[in-house]
Amino acid sequence: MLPGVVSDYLNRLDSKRIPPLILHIDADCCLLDSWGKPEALGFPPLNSGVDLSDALPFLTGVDATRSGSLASVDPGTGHAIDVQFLPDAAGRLFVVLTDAREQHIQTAEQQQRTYETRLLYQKQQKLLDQLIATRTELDLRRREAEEALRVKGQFLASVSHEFRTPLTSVIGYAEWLAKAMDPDDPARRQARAIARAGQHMVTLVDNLLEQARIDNSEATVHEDTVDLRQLAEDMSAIMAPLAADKGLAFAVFLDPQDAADVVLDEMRVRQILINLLGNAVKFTEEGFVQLTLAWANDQLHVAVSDSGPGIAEADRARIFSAFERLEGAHKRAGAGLGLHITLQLVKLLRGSIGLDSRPGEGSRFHVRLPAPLAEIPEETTAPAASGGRILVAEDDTDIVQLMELFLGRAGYTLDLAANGRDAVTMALGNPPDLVIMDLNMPVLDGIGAVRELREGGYNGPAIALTGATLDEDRIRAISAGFDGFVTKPIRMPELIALLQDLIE
Amino acid sequence: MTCKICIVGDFAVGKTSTVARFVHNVFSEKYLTTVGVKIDTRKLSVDGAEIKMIIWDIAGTDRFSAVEFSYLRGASGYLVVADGSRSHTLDVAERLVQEARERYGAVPQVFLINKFDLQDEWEVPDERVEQLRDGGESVFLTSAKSGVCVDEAIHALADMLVAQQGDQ
Repeated sequence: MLPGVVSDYLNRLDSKRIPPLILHIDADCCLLDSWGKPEALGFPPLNSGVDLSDALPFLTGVDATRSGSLASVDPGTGHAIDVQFLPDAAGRLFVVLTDAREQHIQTAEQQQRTYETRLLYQKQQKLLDQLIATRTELDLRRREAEEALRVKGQFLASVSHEFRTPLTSVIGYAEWLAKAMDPDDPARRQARAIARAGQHMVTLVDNLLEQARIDNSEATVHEDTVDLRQLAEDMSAIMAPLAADKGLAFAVFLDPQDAADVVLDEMRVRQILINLLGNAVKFTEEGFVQLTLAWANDQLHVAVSDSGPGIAEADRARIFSAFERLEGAHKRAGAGLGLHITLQLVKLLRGSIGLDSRPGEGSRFHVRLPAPLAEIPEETTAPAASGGRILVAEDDTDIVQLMELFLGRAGYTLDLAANGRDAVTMALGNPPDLVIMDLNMPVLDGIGAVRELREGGYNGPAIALTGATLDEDRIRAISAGFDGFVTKPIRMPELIALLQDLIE
Repeated sequence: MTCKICIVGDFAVGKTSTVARFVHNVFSEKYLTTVGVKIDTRKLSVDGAEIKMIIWDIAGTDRFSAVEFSYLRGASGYLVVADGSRSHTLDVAERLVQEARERYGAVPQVFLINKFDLQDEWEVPDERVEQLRDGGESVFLTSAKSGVCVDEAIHALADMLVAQQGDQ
């Protein structure tokens, strides 16, 4: 006979279930009595007087004095059961076991779906977080790279500026000496070598600056009218002495029919030609270097040929890469930037470059650049140099003396100021015909000085002198009140031509 | 000596796989959720003494309800499992231990940070593990898949239980 508490519990159970198994055990888990079929719930036959803790491991640790329940227990039989503990007054325990398989299966299916979905969601979230982290990291790296490029550009601009001022003196004085010497004096050749080496350094500095501009996507095209005959003459003047020093024959060819005035970025074209010709002279030990310029169908055709060692087909792509230098090239000066920059410049000017070469048979670089015919205004008679009084504001005494030499010989009288403040005082007190001012001066810089000059009523022409070559420096100078802009190293013939233009 | 051990943790951290590795030395890649509680038994020998561990593999949860608390009653120790490739499950594990301690008092416990085989996806930093160890917890980086440190972790709990028995 079951006690009332057990009967009441049984009455509340779902009648559709397998009939429950009821066990009456003592505090040591020994079976006192049982009702129902243990096999129906997956248990072996249970005999009275036997310790049930092995067959029913969930009885371990049970407090026989407390009622309680365990839902959905798999005791190792693979058969889920619900367990109810009902203590009797004598300190023994009724344990009612009921079948829970159906509920267990339903819950398992639902829970499996829920947890799999949650796992998928968590994985998706993790991937999303990783994507965001990667993007953030990439953004950071991009910003760092941009900053590094900017700093590099600033550094190169600063280096360029610092180099240009002393190079003005090196080239200018060397040229002055060469001109002043007797044509038979052997030292004249040495003075010219100094001037050429200085000019070579300017090219190197220009290449580094150009590379920085290209890296920063800051390179812009400045189209101007280029006289191809003048270009050919200039190239000859620059390169012929270099070739002669090595005993090479040097020639520039330009068919008179092609000697047109065309629209080109002159500075970039000169840089391309100097790089190609400089390389040809550098790598050719004997024989010749020649430049051919031709103009047809609104295109400038350039060919630079040499009798140098030639370039193997396998190396042709590499020579246009930055800092790539072929075997043997390391014996010669250079950064390995020349051809790389040449390629970048040709691309910037929307042209093309190619190479015909065989080892031992020399090389021929050919470049094609769009160059439409320029519209030339009706020719007027060039004004003759008439001289004039010029105020030169420059704190570098070497450059001041160089200007005194060249401009004095050209018929100009110079007033000298060592800083912007003195220049403003002098120019407003006794206005000169023209002012030349270095931008980077002590006390008051060139930009500040020209502003004060313009505000003070000085209307004469003003030329800015600077080692900086960036477009923004040029714009800043013109906006402040300058009429012209000359970058160091100063080419005295060009400066004199500009003076004549502005004074007239 | 017979001990009731409860293995607890969030869902899908590898509790059932840990028990399967420890009791039957098997592993299945397929994830099968546990409903309610599944009980397994294994006997161990600790310093010559036999200890019978009745392991209650409790369905994963992030908070104990009345049903789970009923399973924990009378437990001698806990195996607390987290998934090293889901670091938040270690937070859940610590919270569950706290809840159990508040309800039934402190018992010996061992942390198993499981799925150590998933090195590429591992999220739990070494500092976190050191922090737990510095707080006096026994922590094992386990893999139910490869078996790494599973026996060591459960033996460590058995050692604690035997030592505690000796103290009493």
